[in-house]
Amino acid sequence: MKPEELLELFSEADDDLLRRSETATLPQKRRTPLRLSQWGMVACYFLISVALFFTALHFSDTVPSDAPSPGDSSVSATDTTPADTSTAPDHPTVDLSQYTPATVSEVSAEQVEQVDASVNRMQASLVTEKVFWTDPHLLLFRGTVLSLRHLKIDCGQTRLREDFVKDCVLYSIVFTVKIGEVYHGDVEFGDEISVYMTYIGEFGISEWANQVYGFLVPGVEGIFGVRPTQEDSYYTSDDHIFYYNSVAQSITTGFIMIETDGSVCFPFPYYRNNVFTSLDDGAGYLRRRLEQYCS
Amino acid sequence: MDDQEILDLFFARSEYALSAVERKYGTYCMSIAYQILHSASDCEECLNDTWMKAWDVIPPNRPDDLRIYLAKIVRNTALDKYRRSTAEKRKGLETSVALHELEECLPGGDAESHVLSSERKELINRFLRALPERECNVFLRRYFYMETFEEISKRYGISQVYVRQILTRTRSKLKKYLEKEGYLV
Repeated sequence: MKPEELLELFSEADDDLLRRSETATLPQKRRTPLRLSQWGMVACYFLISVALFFTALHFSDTVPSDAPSPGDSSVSATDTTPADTSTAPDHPTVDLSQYTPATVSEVSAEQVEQVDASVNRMQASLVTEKVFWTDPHLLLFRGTVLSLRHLKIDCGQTRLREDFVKDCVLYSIVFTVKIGEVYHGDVEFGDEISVYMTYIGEFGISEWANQVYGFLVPGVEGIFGVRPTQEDSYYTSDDHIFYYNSVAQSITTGFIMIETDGSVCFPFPYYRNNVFTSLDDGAGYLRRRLEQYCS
Repeated sequence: MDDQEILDLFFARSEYALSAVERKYGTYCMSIAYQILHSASDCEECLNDTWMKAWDVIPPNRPDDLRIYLAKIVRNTALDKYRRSTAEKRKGLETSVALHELEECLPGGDAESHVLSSERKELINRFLRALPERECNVFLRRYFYMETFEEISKRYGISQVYVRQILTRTRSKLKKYLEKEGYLV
């Protein structure tokens, strides 16, 4: 057996052992023994507590003359118990006011290396046929990119692991598309819609993913699959928040907010095992699939 | 999106599964691959291969824990890539060091082991389960996740010296165990 084989052997480790090694927590700090002076302080606190307790008991017994008689059990010392907690909400609510607003700023394509990107196969994938008929809000259209902006959204920090806190910076593209042909969804020929797309996720820039949308430049024609966001949808890191709509309003008026999570545009001549000679070819393929699944 | 929904997408042969799994576990798998390869471009390839392998095996497989399942795939893929990489490209320092450390357990060098895949799982898990919990955890952080001594010491709140002691002791146990089981000459 070679060392490489031995190293590979650990891939066979049971899942629960690997999970345990991930979730194991830091050991409890060893409790240091109390010194004599500290024991003295503990004793003093104890005596003060006992004295306060008996004092409180004494005053609770000296009831005023117009108070109910001792036989009346409706009033007792136990009535001073903490307030009834039954009014507490059933579900914990998130207090959004505790979050600091994220800082949004515009950056150049060069700053985020969104230039000269090579195509990788992930970006050519399209929402699958299943989504066409399970997601009624999907917009699927062909269009031309008119303008494009890169945004940097600074969200403070996020905790990746117990011992690993990292700056949380989201990079997003906002681009405007003029619709040329609609395949699915409530948009029309000639509409101009803006698409917001977070291309670097919540963990900040990763070396391997920040060139994914480098092909998106003004003038590029493609087929796009996008979805509208909710009115008040927001993103939070550990301590920062931003509302997608507020980002939209800070950029342009008449903005239509689109979330592209899970849907991708593909100006590339292939999709799965299909090789398209042109976008017309790809559009024909989509039409056939939509007819098949939506009929 | 939770794991069951992602797995449903895999079973529906929806390519959305790939983007979903990449969004959820991309950083996690990247960190595992990077510990072995130490090259962003190699890691990128490794991750793409990982998603494709997951696509090929799910279905028929439906893992109980998708996160660990992907960890194993990306680890094996990265190790395979590491092995195939040329000498000048070998920058996976922790992998080289880990391999060097494991040579201690193998006095027979390149002796043929003939360990069947079905036996491998039982062999290693019997050993790991016999270890005290902390030793087992430290051992897996080192030789599964390829973490450095410093990373392990921070994770468990113990000194680096103690991490080294645990690993030395555990490697010695592994050597005896493999000899006893007849896998070493």
